[in-house]
Amino acid sequence: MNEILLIIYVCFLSLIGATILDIAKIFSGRSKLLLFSIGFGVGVSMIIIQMFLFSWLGIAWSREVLFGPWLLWLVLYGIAKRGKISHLSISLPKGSIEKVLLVLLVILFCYAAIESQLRPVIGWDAVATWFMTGKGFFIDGGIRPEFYRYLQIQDNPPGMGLILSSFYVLIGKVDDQVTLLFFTVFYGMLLCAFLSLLSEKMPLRYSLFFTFLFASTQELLRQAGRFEAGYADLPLAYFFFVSTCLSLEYFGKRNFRSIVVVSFLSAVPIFIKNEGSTMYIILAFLWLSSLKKTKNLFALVTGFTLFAFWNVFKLNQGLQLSYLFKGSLDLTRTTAIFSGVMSEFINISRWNLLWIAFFILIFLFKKTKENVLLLLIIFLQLWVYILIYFITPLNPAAQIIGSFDRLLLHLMPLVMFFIALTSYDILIRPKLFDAKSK
Amino acid sequence: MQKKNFSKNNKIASIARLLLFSLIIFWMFLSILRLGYSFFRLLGEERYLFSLSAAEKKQAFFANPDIIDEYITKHLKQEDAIMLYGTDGGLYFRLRYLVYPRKVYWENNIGLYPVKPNWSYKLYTEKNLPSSKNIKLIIDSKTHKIAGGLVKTNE
Repeated sequence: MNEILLIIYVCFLSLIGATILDIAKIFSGRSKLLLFSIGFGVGVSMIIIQMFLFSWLGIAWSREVLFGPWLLWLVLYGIAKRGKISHLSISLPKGSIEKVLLVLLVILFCYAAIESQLRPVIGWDAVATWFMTGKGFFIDGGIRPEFYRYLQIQDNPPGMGLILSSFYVLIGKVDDQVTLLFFTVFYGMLLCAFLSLLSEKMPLRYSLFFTFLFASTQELLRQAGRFEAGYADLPLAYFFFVSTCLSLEYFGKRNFRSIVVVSFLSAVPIFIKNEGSTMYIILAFLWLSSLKKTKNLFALVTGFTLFAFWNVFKLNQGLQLSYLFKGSLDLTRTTAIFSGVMSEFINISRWNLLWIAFFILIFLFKKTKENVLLLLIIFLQLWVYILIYFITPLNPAAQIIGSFDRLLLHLMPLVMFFIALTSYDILIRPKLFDAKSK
Repeated sequence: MQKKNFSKNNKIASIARLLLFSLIIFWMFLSILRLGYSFFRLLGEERYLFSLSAAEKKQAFFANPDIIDEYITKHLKQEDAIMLYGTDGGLYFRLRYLVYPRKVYWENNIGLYPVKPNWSYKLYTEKNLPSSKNIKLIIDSKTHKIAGGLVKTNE
């Protein structure tokens, strides 16, 4: 029963997000798959922010208070758009290669979903942090600073805990087994967003092919349903991918409503994991650099407000701002860090050939503005991750073994997107061009 | 000269393309192979998990915490706090999650709290049970093995 409720809840979240994106005029005339897969992220973000603010303002969480306004929103949207809502139509691809690739993707998704239900919550970080906060917020009826101090995770953002507890509020109890499916849903939505964005840049056959390569990466599957389901890294990877791709589309544009939403989305990772803050700072700098053209400073305020919310909350409740401010740079670790990082990049059992292909392609890519910005974002964030190992008070070599794969997962969708675009440019586009000119 | 450079560059580009093409084909081959292996594993070594109930799965993955957490949830009040003795960090984190809102502290990290918290029970695992007559033993009803013991602090 709870499984069905979870599916309904996911559809509900996607609908909330899709209607917001529609009003912001993002994705007008583009695929419904894109609208709903990114709509899911917008819906999740809205519930997270709503629960966070309600908790801060002392408004008790209940089904009516949390979901009532959104039901009303959907009804009003339906009335306002009466007769203008286009129907969802599902059409299967025509070619046989496309059909085979689509079947492989569906198999991968089903595999992750089955795996997620085979075991209880066993991932260490899931038990110690993310599911713990989900259960704690639900039982406490809000975010209590004492709870944060009790867990000794004072600078951890509450986003994952809030989205898990929102489902517990809906069903009225803690059901962590079913909630593991949330992570498979993030996997599915990431694949849908990846496929639909890629299929705008190349024929469906190739976009399905690259999506399959992406989807079959073991590290991704482990967090989608196997041993590490319940970690916040996969949701963060989803938000990094969505916010970076949308930011790249809207840098330098003047569409006010769209920029408000994109700026908001680029700040949501702040609420998912600590690493989200650095990604937001990188994106915010790029937004600011395009301000001369767009003159849309006010639109960027939405993202900054989220950034401020979380940090003011921590200051206000006496929680630690960030552990990064506590350490100092230790350059004697360079060799240990370099060898640890390199051995992760060539770990084929986790990544297949993803990182090897990436490091080859950075010498061959087509130097468009989009590609350069994408690479800049990936490398700046990667640099921050490596920098953490120079600062952390823990043994860096041991910490790299235990955490670097999860950090790389955050950037993996963007890296795969770059690989797909560049490989297509190098291998397939010239052939298509030759065939056309003949 | 220019023509020679052009043909040389063209040759390098062709080799790079061939290498990239081979890499991606190998990648595809690897992905399909691993997908097949994953299903083989699911239907082989993981098949027994399909028939287990939620309680049995918990038991299969965490023998001790499951028995201890059931006991604590059943017999202790929600406002009670427990101090866990021993070196089992995995047990600490699982218990902290499973028995919330009852609080669990661990002797190994209690020093990290700026203000020392209070607890009403001491919890020992079967490996470090003290010889106290006030100890309440937690026994697995199926195997009759001792999983741990609780001592009320004011006793």
